[in-house]
Amino acid sequence: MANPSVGTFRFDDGNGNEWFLASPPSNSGVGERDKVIKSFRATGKMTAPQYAIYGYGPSDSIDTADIEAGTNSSTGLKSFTTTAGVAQTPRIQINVPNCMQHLVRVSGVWDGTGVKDRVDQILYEVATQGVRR
Amino acid sequence: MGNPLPPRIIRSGPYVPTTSRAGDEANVIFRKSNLITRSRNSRFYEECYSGEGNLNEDLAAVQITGTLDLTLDSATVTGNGTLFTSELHLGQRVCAIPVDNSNSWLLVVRRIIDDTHMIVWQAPDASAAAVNGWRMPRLYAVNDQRGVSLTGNVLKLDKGSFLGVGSGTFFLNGQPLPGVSLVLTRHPTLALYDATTGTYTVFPLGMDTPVAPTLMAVGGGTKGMQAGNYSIVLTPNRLETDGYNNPSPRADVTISTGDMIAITFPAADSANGQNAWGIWVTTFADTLGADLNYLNGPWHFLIQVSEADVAAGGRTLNYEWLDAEVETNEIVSFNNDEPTDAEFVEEMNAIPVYISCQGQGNVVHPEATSPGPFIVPAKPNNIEAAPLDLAFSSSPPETILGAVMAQGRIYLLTINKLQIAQSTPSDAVPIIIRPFWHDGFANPDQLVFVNGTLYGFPVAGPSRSVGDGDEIVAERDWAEDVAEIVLGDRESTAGWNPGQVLVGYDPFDDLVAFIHSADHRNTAGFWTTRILGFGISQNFWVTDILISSDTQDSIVSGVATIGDRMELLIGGRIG
Repeated sequence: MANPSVGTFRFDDGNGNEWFLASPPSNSGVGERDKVIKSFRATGKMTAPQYAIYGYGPSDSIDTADIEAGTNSSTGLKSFTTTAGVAQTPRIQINVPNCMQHLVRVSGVWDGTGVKDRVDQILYEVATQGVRR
Repeated sequence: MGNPLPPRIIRSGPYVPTTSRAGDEANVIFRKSNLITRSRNSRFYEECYSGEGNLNEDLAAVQITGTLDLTLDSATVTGNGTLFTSELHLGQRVCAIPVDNSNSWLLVVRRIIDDTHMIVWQAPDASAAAVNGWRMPRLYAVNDQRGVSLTGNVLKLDKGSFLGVGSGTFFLNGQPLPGVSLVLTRHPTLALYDATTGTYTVFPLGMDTPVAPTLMAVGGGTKGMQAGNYSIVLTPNRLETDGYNNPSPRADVTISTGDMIAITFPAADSANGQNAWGIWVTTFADTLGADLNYLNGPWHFLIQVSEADVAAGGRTLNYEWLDAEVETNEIVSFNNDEPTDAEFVEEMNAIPVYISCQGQGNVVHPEATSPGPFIVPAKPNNIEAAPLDLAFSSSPPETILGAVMAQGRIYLLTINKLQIAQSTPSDAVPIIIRPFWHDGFANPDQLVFVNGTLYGFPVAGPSRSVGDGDEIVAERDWAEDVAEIVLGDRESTAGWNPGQVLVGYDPFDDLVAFIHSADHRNTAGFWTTRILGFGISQNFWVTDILISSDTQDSIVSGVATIGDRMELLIGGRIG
């Protein structure tokens, strides 16, 4: 057993980090109907990025612990292309139905080399689906 | 096939984890980790927080005497052979680790009952017997360097010397002072710098009152001192501070016109660092009249002479003076008492002020007088002296947990309030202390002053002053955006424990950091720390950071702004 130790560290001066962000839930202005998420793309400088769409229907719990952990999303964690500099990613076609409400979570792992990772914009296309429920 | 809706476009913006889930909220960031919002005025983007840069200054935690027994969900900790009253301080962080190193708990001292019982801010989440307790150090700025000690703090004086109170060895940028290491105690201690060797010698403040000198009239004077009766007292002085303690009993002598006075000096208090003498004399005018006024002083300052010169002169040196040379000099006073016990020391107008004094003591150590509700400034012309007749109580008198110096005031963190001590033009009442925020604190590291505004974490949650920091009102609405994290649901879901929160300022990222140590354990079983950052430039919350390691605890025990960067002490159990 090693004795506990304490070290001195400088804030925001390290060698990389895991990161994520998530938008608040949205009903796209159509609160009474399901939506389907049709595509995803992002703009930024992102290393080993992943996205996940969370869709919620009536009675589905919006669990922030899941959002923070990246678990139990509608899509699972999906990788997309690392961007070497700040760039718009290709449009990724997806199909996530039954989303009365929806949000997106984007994550990455900056390895400490080169310019820091950043996220400038996330965009996903939405269409109505079915009838009111 | 449904109808296309406008695409959802998400850009950076305020971090608002506390928001409704209605589905029609504004474009904010709902959850994030290790990203910091950059830019301003709706041109925001999110940038990766790079982590913590290791400055490679490993500091050992210091084990307490004895062991601890912890009980699940009980905030009372029982010691076995422990010395809580002398070894621990309010707000201090102790990392409790079983002998088998299988777990750890952060214990923040809330109340010390006696040597074997204390109450901590967070009850442990398991029972454990005979665990070791390790005191974790705190961090503070000493000019542009990192000062570290178990508790208390250290000031850098002129001529390179240091003055400190607290506990544990003082480290400067990770190293003890060269020469004699400065070990802090509740009694103020000086580390005196020798520029020729680059080393320090250390002494407790307070030099013994000397015995009276021996005086004799000798011929050979050149100034023409007038015949009469003269009186002299000596003070024990220190060259490095030009300060002194209480004077000797007087000695008297009768001389003829043209004589000098030979002073034979008593032994110096070298054990407490006395290396000079102050010579204080009466004037010829005081000898006039038959009522022997000279016996009662006043004694005017004549000269400070080094102990080396005294020793070189065989302990007897000759002096002569004329009235005009001394009559407007300082008159010796008799209340040059050494400082009392304290938890911290700050400077106001370049005068040391000892903080958290005149406490009640305890059965084991009835002589101990810190922590307490008083502050005691040193004399303006003599930093070695801090008599209790200059002491001022917090108002109402509450134990002082910490202090922050800003805008010519000392902000005093007490158990139930934030109070302000400020100097006044009055000689009779040179300092007044008044309540400021009506909300108390849990440890000394919970308040920062940034661009005219106080930011703090009293027990009710994040607060800041309105306007220029001189308002009674503590503003809280700005912190509602993170209330879901900090306060939980105010009932069944726990928020942050106030005892585990530290507050710091990072000029580099221009954010105030609210740091929750030992926030939760990660999947590897080690404690993490969560930091919420409020952007000064953006005027909203800009970051949510997790410090975590799979090989050791990441408990933040200290924070300070050093130059343009915020620096942290991080440690705990190693796997």
